[in-house]
Amino acid sequence: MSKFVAKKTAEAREVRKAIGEYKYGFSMPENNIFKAKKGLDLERVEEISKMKGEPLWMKNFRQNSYKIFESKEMPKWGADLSQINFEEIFYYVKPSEGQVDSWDKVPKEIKDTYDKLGIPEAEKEHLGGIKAQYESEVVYGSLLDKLKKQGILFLGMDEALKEYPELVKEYFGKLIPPTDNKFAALNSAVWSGGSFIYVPKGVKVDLPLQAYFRINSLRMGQFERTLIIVDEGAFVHYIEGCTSPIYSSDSLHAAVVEIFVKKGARCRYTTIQNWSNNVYNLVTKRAKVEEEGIMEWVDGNLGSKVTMKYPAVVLVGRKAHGEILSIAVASKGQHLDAGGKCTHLAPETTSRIISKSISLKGGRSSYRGLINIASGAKNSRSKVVCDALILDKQSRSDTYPVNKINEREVILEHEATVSKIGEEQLFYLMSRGFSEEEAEAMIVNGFIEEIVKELPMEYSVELNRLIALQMEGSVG
Amino acid sequence: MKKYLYKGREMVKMLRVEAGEQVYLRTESVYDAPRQTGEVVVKAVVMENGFLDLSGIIKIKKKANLAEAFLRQKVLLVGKNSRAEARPELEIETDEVKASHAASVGRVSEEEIFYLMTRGFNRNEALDLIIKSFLGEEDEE
Repeated sequence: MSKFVAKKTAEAREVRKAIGEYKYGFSMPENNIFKAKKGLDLERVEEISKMKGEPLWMKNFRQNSYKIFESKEMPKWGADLSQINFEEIFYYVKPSEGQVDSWDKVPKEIKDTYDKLGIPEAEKEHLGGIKAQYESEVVYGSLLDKLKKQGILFLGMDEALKEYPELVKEYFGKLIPPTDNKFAALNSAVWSGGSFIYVPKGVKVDLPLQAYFRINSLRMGQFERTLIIVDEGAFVHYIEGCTSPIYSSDSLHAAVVEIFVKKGARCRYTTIQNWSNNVYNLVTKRAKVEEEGIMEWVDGNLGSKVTMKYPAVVLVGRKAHGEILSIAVASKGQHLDAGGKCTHLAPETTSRIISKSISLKGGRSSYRGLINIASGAKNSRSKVVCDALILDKQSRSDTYPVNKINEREVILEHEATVSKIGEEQLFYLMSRGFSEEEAEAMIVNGFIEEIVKELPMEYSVELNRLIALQMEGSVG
Repeated sequence: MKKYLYKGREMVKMLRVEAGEQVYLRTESVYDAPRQTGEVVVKAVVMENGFLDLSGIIKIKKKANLAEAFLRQKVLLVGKNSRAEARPELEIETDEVKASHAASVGRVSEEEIFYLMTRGFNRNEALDLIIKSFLGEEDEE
């Protein structure tokens, strides 16, 4: 027993030593090919489209979206967005000549960045394909030959628009139109980069595909656009990770992600969001799920100054299933407003939301969710569980669920609890030889276990480390 | 639309939304001093074409350490085209608290009706009994 404890304690110390502080906070000298002037107007939008040599419909789409962005008001609910200064942001930064398929061809500063983040290493061991986006553009991309042969498309969004214009046109903006919200409109106007995935009928991609998003320069706005189509009976697991340097002025990340899950298909989308604490992270994510399809969002939010993100599933086919697993860890100076939305439009559809949030050191985490069961969605079921832990007096936790039930023959359940770590739990672990800090970290790890176990191995280790880091010195 | 607003930490509200009626009911429970406890239970049935907008909030302020707060909302959709919206909310500004809420929306199960019908009640009588017992019970746990 004592041997075990000693080992655990040493491990904990090691982990803490290894992490130090936010280890992704470094920045590289800027060596951009092109950087648009800061601020935004119609000309700037046209400039982006022209530089990319886009078809006319996309140019019109951007212009139209810009007008919608201008006319829409800022959201009056959720986190405080009043400090965003749209005039001070750089909307388009092109870091290199274009996407390459070998790390050796990537410019040195950028390659060094990804080396530090451990991306090429991860690629070798765990991934079926990868896209690395630096500032506004995808700078590196690869896909295993085996997957290429199966007809899987994994392209940068810009690349896809060039090579498969018809396919892109059919789906682009169809699930999240620019009119959806102000930040979806902004993204639609100035989008650049992001991933495009098409998985053909019946093909199951056994290794995850990953995209890694990095902001490097000051006051950068990153607006990637992702479109995933999983054809009938197919399966894909897509992972995205995000980091950025620490600056004193704020950056903006406003992405749009659209996913189409066809009959009997399944898509899992895992996010580990670890932006530095000067990034506004305002993301719209939505999946449309057809008959017997399954959509799973695994959403980990650790970083950013402000996050407003509610991954959504729209269940349009009989027996479609949606699942949202969400973790938010809000520390000093952070407001993470996260959650999920499930819309049931067909009979026998099911959904489940599990949200775990931790607030510490004055951070604020909010769960905001919507379950909407339409009339006619007979025998649908939905279950929502939100658990929150508050670690100290300065921190805050909120729960704002909305459940709209327009069909009688359904079952909806919603549960939420907010608590601090129990004295008894702490005492028990401490009587077994753990320090208070270690005991607390163990309890927190247990609290989020349900979601962490759904992550690929290397991410669950990473997530536990990140949380241990956030919690350092939190026992007061 | 009929509107009700109730403030307090200890409340039990039973409500029957009659056919075609629209009702808005909100409970507000504010905890602002140490060691306060409370439990709010709202139970409602919604009849044909009725609509219930049910909102409830537990607010635990900075000073209210050691608060224990609970909110339960239970809705039975009984009539055809009956609809409901349930919004249980929590705003917690301190750490030494236990706060939770639970909401459920469902219908009367066919099994319950069937059981009563085998005991000689007709369908309407069975439904009536189930509604009465649902609203009548103080708290099932």
